[in-house]
Amino acid sequence: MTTRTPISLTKSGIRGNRRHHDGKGVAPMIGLLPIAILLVIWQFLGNPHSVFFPLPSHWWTAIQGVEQQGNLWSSILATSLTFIESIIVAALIGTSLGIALGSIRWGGKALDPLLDFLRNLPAAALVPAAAIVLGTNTKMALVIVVLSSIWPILLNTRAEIQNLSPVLSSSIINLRLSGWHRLSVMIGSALPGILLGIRVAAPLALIVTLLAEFITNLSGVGALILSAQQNFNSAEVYALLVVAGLLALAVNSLVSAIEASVLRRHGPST
Amino acid sequence: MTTQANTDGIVYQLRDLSVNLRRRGQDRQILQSLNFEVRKRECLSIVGPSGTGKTTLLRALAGLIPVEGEITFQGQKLEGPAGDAVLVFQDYGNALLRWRTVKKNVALGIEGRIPREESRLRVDEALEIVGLQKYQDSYPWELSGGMQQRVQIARALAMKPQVLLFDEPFGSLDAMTREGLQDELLRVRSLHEATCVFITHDIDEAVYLGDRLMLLSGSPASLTYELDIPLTGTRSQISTKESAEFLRLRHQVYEQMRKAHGAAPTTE
Repeated sequence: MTTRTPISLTKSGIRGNRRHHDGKGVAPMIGLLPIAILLVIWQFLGNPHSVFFPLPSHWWTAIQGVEQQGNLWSSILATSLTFIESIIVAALIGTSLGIALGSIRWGGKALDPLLDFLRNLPAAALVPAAAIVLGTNTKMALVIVVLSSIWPILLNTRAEIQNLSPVLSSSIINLRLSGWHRLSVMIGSALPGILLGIRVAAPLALIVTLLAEFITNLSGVGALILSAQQNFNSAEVYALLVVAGLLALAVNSLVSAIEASVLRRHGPST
Repeated sequence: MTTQANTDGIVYQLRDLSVNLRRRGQDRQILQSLNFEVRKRECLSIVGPSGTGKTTLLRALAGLIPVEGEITFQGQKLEGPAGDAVLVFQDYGNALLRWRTVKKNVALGIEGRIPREESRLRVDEALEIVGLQKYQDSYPWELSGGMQQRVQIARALAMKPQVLLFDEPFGSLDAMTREGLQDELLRVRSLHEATCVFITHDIDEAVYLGDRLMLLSGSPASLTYELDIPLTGTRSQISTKESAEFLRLRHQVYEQMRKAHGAAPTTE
């Protein structure tokens, strides 16, 4: 994988996907049917005394227990907050850096090894280092999540800027656009790629948010899963897994909806 | 920037212009020793086979690429982008901003530079000239190719430039749309007395639209032929293109083109 890949993602991924949004989210719900069927089968055919594979009805009881302790909603809120803050910061920094790197002529090739190195650093490996430097707090989680989810946004933005149509860049010069005006035209043209980057980054950010909570025991859904696991409460682990999955689903729908509404003015792909 | 007395009537003066472009690490000479001038308010057609360097010449006139020799624009040596010469590209799809409405696309070159009210008037005027007022709130992707190209022409007109540089503007349109736009362009020129440099590989189009025609050929390309086009009266697709004078001029250009290339080029 080279840093050139994002553009190919742009060409196939985003264009293909934009059409799906006309389905108003019906398709993803139908897509969940196999899981629902699996759970029903599990419920009726599973061993009610199993330690490792508790019945889905037991998950429900377990999650109600967590809710009664008052941890559930505050944890979901904490995870969501870390996630939202991180993705916003990653989008802002990633887009700015992407535009900057895409605009400089030598930024094309010279920085590739560095960017490849950085983006392939596993997030889990960053957590201990960040914990040493920043301590285990939400700021540390934010840094880790931003560091690991910024790459798709940064690289996609850079690729979009580098591949700006020559006719468009000539137009920008010929019409003597400068400063903010010029930037807004470039951002507008790169927007589909930027949003695709954000769509790829969002699930990544959620995963790393949970991971950071896992490793550092910061409050959040990740920490709940960890403590449930440490207490051998397998029903609770499964239940929280479903919560995490629903959270991911919500994130994906939200990002896709934002993307579709922003790109409405861009029209169908050419 | 007013023109000096000694250059009155001349918009562009090219002296010994050569252009080298760097492709895949190699310098290649595209244009060699061009000497010509563009006169005020004329429409100069430049024809030549594809790949000769016509677009390169136009980019040089717009001040977008470094050149050897000298280009004088409105009495001053051209260094950097020419402020008062606006390009109209063949690739309207990329030249227009798809997330902006027609109105806002036309305003692109003037917004923020002149008072809002004046900008609005100029956009209206430009849209009226190309007959797209009804579509001012549409997005480019909602329009046909011909209409999008008219948006790009309106965008250029709104800037009220001294010179319009057309880079095969109708090359990607179907024959009927192209003829419609050729007449549109003649009408625009009668309303808006800008100087035009019109690049095409279509000889009929070059003769039909031009007051003067130049043939660019060879590699590196040079000017091999020049012709005045004294077609009088209002030009029309039917009568002008059937007139003896038009056919004679067209014949001459074809012959020169054949002489330069050893084979008859196609009109497409």
